[in-house]
Amino acid sequence: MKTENIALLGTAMTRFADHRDRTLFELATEAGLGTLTDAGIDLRDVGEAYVGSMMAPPMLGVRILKQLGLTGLPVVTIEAASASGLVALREASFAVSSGRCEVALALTYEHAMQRLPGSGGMTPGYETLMASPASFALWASRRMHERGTKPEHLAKLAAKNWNAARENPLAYHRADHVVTPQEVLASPSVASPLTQMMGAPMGGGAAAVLLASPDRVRRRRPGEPLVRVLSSSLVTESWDPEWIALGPAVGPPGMTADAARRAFEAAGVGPEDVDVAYVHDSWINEELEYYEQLGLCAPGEAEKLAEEGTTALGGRIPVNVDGGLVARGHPIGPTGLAQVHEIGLQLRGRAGRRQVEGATTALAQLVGGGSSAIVCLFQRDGRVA
Amino acid sequence: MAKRAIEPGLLRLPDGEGRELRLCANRCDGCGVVFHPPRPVCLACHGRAMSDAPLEGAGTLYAFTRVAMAMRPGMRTERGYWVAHVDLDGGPRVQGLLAPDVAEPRIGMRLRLGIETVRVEESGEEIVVHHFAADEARA
Repeated sequence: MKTENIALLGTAMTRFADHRDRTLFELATEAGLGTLTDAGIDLRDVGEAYVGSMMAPPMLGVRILKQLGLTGLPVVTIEAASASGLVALREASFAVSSGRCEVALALTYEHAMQRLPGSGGMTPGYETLMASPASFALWASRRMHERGTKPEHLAKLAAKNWNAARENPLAYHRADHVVTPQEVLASPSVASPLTQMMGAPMGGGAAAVLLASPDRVRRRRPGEPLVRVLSSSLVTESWDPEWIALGPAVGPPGMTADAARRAFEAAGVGPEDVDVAYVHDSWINEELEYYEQLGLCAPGEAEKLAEEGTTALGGRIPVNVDGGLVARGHPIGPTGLAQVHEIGLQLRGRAGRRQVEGATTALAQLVGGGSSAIVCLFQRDGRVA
Repeated sequence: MAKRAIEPGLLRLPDGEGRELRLCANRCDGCGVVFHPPRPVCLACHGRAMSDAPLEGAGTLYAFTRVAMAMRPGMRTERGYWVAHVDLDGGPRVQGLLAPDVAEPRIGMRLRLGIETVRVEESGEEIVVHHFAADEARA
């Protein structure tokens, strides 16, 4: 769906880390106040808030917003597993584009070390008998059979993301050396062919984004390029006789293709226009699948992209240059808004040593267990100073 | 001792009087698509007339992975187990464990349905789940 006349007013995120010494309230407050500071406003200027996480107990969202002020604003809690952050952004976009408010806040958070009383859990049973990495490992198993994918392709992409995170001060994993594919392959197996270093750490963190009309953003950020939210497309599973539509596992990879097609149509841009992309590499073989599902390459060419380094910084289409879920981290709830924070930096030319030169159009994609998929497109107006 | 499936509506266990092990499934009366576990509405045509159609569980290995973490506490305890997607003969693709005796899975190999105990209740009741074992006769 097209998100007309929406731009980023402010963004912020905490570091994604183990955070065993910090509370979920502290993390969410840091991100919430951070984005208000970045936007130069306080909560009195915010018309609506969309907050959420995957495992939070009842009432948490409203209680967290109280840390930022008591202004009577409507607060709506969102839960869409790993996709929660981008779904919160989507609802905040519509709150502004529909005219309900001038400024909307999206704030998502999670703390795996600190499951509060009443947090959600899965009932043991047939559907949850299998550990979640297995669902992605089964994709990988079949792809290796059909396409000749090698564990080395997966290791090379994982090493790319580990090394990208070395330039991101807010990343979970910041290796003190160049990570090699051999090191990734030698880490302990989790679900064959996936090894520990091919999967995302959870930990904790929070991220927040403020949205407003372009006029309002121009007034607040004079002389800066405007970062527009062009479109957001959210889908859940469609019937596919080849797919086992069971349980909390993530649905067929084609869901991302459906969401991407709709997002590109609504935005009036195509995959060839994307300068930088952030995708759901909770397990690295997903990134390989999504190159094709998002149209960043033709079907069957993803392995070639991995071999040639096309998606590394400096390549034709850099993907996950903030480290991706594998190395920036994936606390689940805040992951999507961390992608948006990063896109704000990239499109304003402020991404430092991981800057994609001249980046104008960016894509964020996530999938969420259950399952759903979401693709959002962003574009810069004006020049980077 | 008595056996019980890990969830209702998943498995039809043998009764010792000639009834064979089956996977519970249903078939859409309108378009013929078969679902395991049974569904209230046909996912293909949205028809609601569904008939019981238990599956024998012979099939072909579609994809597999060896999971190197323990199963849930109180279940099969050894570290590491295989999970598979299996294309059932005349039925849907289903998910299940591979039996411990499948040493080297390969895509395309023939498998047959079996059960294994994942947990024993204090009452002595055995909680079972289905798995797929190598089909010696048709390998």
